[in-house]
Amino acid sequence: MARRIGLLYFIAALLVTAGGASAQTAEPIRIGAILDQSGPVAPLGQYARVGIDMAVAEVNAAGGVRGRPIELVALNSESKPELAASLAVRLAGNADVMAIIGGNFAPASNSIGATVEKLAVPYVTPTALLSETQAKWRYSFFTLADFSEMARSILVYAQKKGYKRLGLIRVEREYGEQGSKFLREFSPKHGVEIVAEERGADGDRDFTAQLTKIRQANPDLIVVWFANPGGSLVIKNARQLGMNQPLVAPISMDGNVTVKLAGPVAEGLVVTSQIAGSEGLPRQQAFISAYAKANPANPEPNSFEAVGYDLVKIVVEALKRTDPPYTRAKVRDAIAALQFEGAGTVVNYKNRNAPTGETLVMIQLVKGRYVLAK
Amino acid sequence: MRTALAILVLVFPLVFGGYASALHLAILVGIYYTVCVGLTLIFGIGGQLSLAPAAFYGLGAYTSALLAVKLGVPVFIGFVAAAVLCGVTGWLLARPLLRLRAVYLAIATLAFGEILITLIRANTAITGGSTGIVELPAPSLAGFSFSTPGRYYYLVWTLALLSAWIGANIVKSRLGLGLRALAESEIGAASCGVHVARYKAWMFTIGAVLPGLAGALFVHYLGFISPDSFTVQFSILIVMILAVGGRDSFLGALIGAVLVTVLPIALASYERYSPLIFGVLFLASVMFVPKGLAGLLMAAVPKKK
Amino acid sequence: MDASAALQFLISGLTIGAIYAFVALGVSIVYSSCGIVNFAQGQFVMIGGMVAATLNAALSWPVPLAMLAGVVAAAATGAVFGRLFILPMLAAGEFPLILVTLGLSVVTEAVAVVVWGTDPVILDSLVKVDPIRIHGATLGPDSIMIVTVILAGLGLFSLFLTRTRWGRAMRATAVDRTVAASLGINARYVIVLAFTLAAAFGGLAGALLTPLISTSAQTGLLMTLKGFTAAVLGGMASPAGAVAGGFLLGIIEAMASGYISSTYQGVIASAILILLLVLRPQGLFTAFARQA
Repeated sequence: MARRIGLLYFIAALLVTAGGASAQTAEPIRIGAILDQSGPVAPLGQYARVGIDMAVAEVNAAGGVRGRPIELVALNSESKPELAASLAVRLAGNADVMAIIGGNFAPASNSIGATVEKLAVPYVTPTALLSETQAKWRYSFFTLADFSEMARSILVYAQKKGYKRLGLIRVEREYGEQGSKFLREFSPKHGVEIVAEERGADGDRDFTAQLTKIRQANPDLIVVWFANPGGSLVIKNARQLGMNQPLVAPISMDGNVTVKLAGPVAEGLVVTSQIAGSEGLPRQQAFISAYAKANPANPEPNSFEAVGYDLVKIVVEALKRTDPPYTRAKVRDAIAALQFEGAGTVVNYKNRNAPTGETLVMIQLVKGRYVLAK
Repeated sequence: MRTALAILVLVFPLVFGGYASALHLAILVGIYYTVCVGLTLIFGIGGQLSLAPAAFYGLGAYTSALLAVKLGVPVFIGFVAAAVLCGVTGWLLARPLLRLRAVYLAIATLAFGEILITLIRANTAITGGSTGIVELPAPSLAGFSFSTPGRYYYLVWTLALLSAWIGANIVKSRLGLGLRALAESEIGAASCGVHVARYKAWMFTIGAVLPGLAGALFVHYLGFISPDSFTVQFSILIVMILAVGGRDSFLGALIGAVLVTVLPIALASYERYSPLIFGVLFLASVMFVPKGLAGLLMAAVPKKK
Repeated sequence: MDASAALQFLISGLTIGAIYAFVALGVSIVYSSCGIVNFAQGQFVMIGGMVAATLNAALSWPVPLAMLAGVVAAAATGAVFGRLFILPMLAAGEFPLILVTLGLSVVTEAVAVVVWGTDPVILDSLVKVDPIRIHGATLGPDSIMIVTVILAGLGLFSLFLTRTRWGRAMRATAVDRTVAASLGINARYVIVLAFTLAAAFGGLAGALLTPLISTSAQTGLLMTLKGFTAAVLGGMASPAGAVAGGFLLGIIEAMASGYISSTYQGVIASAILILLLVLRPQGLFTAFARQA
């Protein structure tokens, strides 16, 4: 049955792709999108796609850029770094593609970044800046807040609330590694001590052994530096063990999936997010209401959808400030001069190729909905 | 046949040099092909299922990358070091591991890869951890830097053809005959005077050196290294290449490498459906062309020597 | 570390071990009766979990009924795989058969991604009671449930093997396919039966583990690899050995992570596995289980 449905979908997709090509009359401006639509990071890739589609539809409904519609060339990189690099080369070979967006998997984004640097294609990525080398890249522009900023926000929150003993359980992946590094680096400044640190692999599904050890260190705040489903299972395991400490998590735990997986025991979870829950900051209002209209069953966007939306908006903003005929060099220069306040990110690429400190907002789960953390 | 292939490899950049994607694909194919030549000896000719290629690919890549970045060692010396380290590791692992049959060997080699990846992820200060290292230097020899895709292409394919040549000679040699005998029947081979343990150890060592070298070439081409390129997925990819192309000939490895490299890139525009299309094609190929496309080709072309 | 922590590590190991044991049992059923290494075993687990979770969430089926449907869907998939993909390829030999199961695994996962998307999903617990506390350690109802069911499942399967005609046919085929054929046993039926049973156990595992650890369309390969590791550890050729291997793997992981280091948990478990394999290439419990 599932097979037959799959086949039908496949045929339908072929028809749609074949039929869609000739619909537009004005020559479109093409943006390449490398998206992790399968493989371990696929949930993030699919979220990004939701935001990207919204933004493209919005821009085109408003008449496109100087009368020319935006056309997305979307490619699936399957959460594979080498495939992502190959797709960047493929897109670079298409002279109509003015910029590349996407790549939610950090290693994939890194290999796209290293590739476009050689091939001179502007690239706006939904990941965070990880190294000095990347800060010097001319063609890559980051939209996810630095991990140092996420760690700092968590420590500021701990300090404000008077928590002094912090227990950390983190994933053995690049974002967990970065989180641990910066929490350790900044914690003395905030009068916080990291009393326990335990790790788990991506594929781990039971964390009671790690949590039992953390419990013995007696922390008063626990940081869950994980993504789903691992992070939600940490929360469930912790509550089942009777650990009632308040919980904080970075952006990787943002979204409705946490509410679904962890259920009521996630109540009170604080998340460093890039979108302020259901309320929204002024700069996010338009996106949140458009999103709610498009998804009545699930009206709260998550950070990755908001960031995906901004990827397109950043490129479009740069196109609007460029005089045709468009070239990649001109588009790159326009992005590099951009100061932009979007739904999911705040950047000033004149200063650095990554977001400013205003990007992060602390939100909290209250009665199953995200609101601004008090 | 062989000469035609060599000429094709030689002139490819002169024809397609203007197309960045063609050159890029050719470099990847060359790298995968090198891995597969090593594995053909183990899978096809030795009849053993090893999931170690990812581990040796990663070991070689990290050896050369870390020597270059942390100690400033010239990349070519790093390549040699990668080959030597992988060879020694392969030789040491061969005796205990190759006593294992079929799926036992697969799981043991998988566990070896798991150990390596965990050590790489955990020792951030040395390896760059899960975050990896960006901006690896390009290799250079006597002042000549292999920094453009065109130059890198020749570097990769020199190695690929060299390894295919060595592989072909091994197959024809006493060692190769011994390996084939082993695949047929271990006891039979032993009774005919085939030194089972030593042949297997050689096979495993060559199957470690070539992926190691290929891994080193790969990361210095990409300019970026992280443990995610060396997971079990890579070993599965190699098994797929050999399955599609035909696992008992080097021509099969080449056909497989081309298809398995090009298809995901070509299918990527079907987005969510691309792994499905790829999977169906793969399943169809193992069901309907069990000897691989090379076998099909060999059967179609009349035999001549 | 005190006794309550030790007990907690043990509980954690048994719970996760029961999941591995379930997958390993399926791997072993197919391997022991028809000598086929089935790389698609983890996909049955995925189907069981995803079908149950979808029916419960989208159509509001009660959890037990949704779980049952998950088991049936997995078993049906297993029967189809056995009949349509394995039987025609029997003559091709061991290696091509492994590749066919690998291909089936890839295709199943790809279909699941298209049908269900990639977000992880979860189910309500089957039994809604509070966790039990013993000596400061916590034992959840789902853990008791899954450990009980795998042990009961193994017991029933052993009874099936020794007491029923079909079970005896499976055992005979396992020993020697030609001799079994001369006794009038059709090996083709046995193979389809083995795939169906293995898939049913896989589906049951998937349905039961979803409330505990969630599932997703892409969880199959991970399950396959864990199941194989467990089965190889205990002995592929014996279902009881494979189940014991599952529990052992779970306990090694939990103890390594509790007493030594969660960072090197993977290294320790893998090193123990390699060591045991080298010392006892046929699996730890094989001889023991054969005698039993």
